[in-house]
Amino acid sequence: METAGVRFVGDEMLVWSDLDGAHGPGPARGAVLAPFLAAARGRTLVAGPHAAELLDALPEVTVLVRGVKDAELLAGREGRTVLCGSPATLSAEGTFDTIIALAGLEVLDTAETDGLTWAEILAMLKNVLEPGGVLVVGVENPLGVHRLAAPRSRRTDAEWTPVPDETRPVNPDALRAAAGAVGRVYSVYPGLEAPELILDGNDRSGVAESALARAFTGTDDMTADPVELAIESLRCGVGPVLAPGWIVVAARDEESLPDIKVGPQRAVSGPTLERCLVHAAARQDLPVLRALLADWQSGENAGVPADQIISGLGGALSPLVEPGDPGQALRALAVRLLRGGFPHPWPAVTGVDDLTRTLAGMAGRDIDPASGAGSAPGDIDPASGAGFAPGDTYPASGAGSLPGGLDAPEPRRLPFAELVAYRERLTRELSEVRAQAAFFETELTAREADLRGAQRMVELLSGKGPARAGQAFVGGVRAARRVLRRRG
Amino acid sequence: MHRANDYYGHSAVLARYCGVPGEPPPRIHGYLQHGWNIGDGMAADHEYVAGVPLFLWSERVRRRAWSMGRRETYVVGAPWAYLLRLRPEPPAAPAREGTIWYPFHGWEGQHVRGDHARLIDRIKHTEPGPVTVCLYWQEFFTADVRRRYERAGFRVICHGYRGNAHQAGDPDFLDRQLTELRQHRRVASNRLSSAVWYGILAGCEPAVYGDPMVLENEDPTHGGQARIRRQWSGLHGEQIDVAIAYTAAVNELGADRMAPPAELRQLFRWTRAAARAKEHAL
Repeated sequence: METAGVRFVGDEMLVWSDLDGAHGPGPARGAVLAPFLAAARGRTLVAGPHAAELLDALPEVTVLVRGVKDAELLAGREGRTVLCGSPATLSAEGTFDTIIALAGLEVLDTAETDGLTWAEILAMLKNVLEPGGVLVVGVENPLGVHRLAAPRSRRTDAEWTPVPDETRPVNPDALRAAAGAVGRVYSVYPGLEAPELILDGNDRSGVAESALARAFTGTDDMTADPVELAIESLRCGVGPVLAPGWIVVAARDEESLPDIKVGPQRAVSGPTLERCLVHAAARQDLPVLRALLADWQSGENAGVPADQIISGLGGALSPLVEPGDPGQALRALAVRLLRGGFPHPWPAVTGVDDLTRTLAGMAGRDIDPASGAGSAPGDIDPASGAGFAPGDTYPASGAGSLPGGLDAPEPRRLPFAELVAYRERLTRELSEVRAQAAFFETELTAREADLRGAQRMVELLSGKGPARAGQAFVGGVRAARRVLRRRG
Repeated sequence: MHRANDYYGHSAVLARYCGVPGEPPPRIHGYLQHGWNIGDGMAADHEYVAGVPLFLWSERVRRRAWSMGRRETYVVGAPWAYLLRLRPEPPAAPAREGTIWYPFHGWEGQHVRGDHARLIDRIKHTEPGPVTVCLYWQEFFTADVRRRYERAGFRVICHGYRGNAHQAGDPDFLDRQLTELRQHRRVASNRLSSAVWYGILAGCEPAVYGDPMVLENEDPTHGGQARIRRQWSGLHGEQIDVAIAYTAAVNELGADRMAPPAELRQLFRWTRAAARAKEHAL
């Protein structure tokens, strides 16, 4: 079989594409992967499906894909050699200074082989790696937060063998040991194929938490909130262990390892303001909550969402994004605090708008829900609740968005755990409202009885002698006045 | 929700603080703790409705209430603390003199058993300056009791009527109490009670001594007087460390946990009343 610009190396798949994403998760893609390709030196092999825009950054590259369609799509570009098939015969292609396989090693195997294990594929790659070369490999974590927080998905066409074989490393240490003499393992979020964020394995900063808060957009139908799990894992010092995926960069020695910059490059240390607020809310520490809210809302960072502010030494606030509308920033915090039955101190909260007003009140600010006119600039626009049912904690439909140009993630569909908490809250509120209705009815009946008693007393008194005399006197005065007026 | 919110003019004080005037003051959406106690902050004889918030004085009471199954609670501090904020003591206030003494009282329907004569002797023996005795309205209008204290040479006063479920109390009850307390150097009682805490926060030296007297059918659920004496042993005696007492009063009256007016208006569901007041002012 011959196709212009493609060299078939055996075991290729004739009617298959990884790049179109129709049979599986699609190619490795996203701007955050670019630094790993930019670190390529010398003769480079990119093995597995990678998005065209990533490959375009490499002037000279050899690409290995398993589907003929993909090979044809990638071929024909100057400086690019396209191989199609399995890695079993790679040794015939000579050696490489850099080998990159960001989509994982499983996607290098084809349906035509006898079934290659992860370790066998790794050995095949290492076999064609120059002794001083660099190996870059992506690996999915079977115990990553994306798996802990998701129901098991239906098998795709790409999973002709569904589970990772036993040779695949299942933690960062095992991966480092398998990859080479020295290796650096990076944590990948929210998944291996299309990461939004890559963190250095040691990064436990508030800035990293801020970035994680925004790294799971587009993940739907979860059982629990993966952001919560990811941030907690970071705080507990097991971020890399529970990251959805890893990228290992391995070499013969430290000197040969490229220095790859990943994650948010901000040199501010400290927790996020949101973390401080959420912690104080859970501890019911109202004075601290009021101080934090007042400090935040009275300064120039009032419009920056709390999860995008680092609270440094002495409470100095460092914003990570440009400020938006302060009302929206407070509202985003209210959404966060009400999420999934998280412990907070406020009694009888009826929803996000209600809590937003209370938070503003704690910061010493008033919101006028009737007119929308605030006493201070940046007050909350009552229209900000558009699309949300009154008193709704969060739209279960996923409809609606946060207006006002706030740099915040779109409302997501509620994870199962939050739906359960939501249902429990509504059930409890319904029974409470019924109890209150019964109380009000009893109260009303008692007041009506009091009123009837008072009316009877009035009637009784108005029928007595002094009352009649009084009435006669008033009647006489009126008659006299009429007579005097006529005369006048 | 409950008329007890209006007792001692509590809701009126908070309405003043919140800038929401009105007679009667607007209804608080919730139950407001109306006296210092060592239980969950709420009166045992009141009926509570599920889902209606309980506004408590102190963090200690909140924790205790939670442990007793109360959930919808929120610490706002005692109305007394807000009154002190509304009426700060002027720098050139006249010098304080003497002692204001609160003999322990029961409520309507309760009867105190104890020896008033012995208590009077003890007060005379202990207090260095002139003594004002403040009686609960019930005792104040019991001529026999009032005369006993008057005959002892004490000035006898009453801050007013607290209020009950069918009859409004004196809305300026606490104002009168504050005015009296600020005229005295010492505050004393035979039981550690709201009045003593109020006095401490208002700048009086406290003292708790004498026969604590016994209430008929006193409810010992939360440990009663024995527990109060154990827990706050440092606040019992004729002379008490003022600094320790002040710190304790700040804690018990939640003076360190007061909410800004905007927060209270939102919590009490007073925002509409506030808007109406604002319109009226224009």
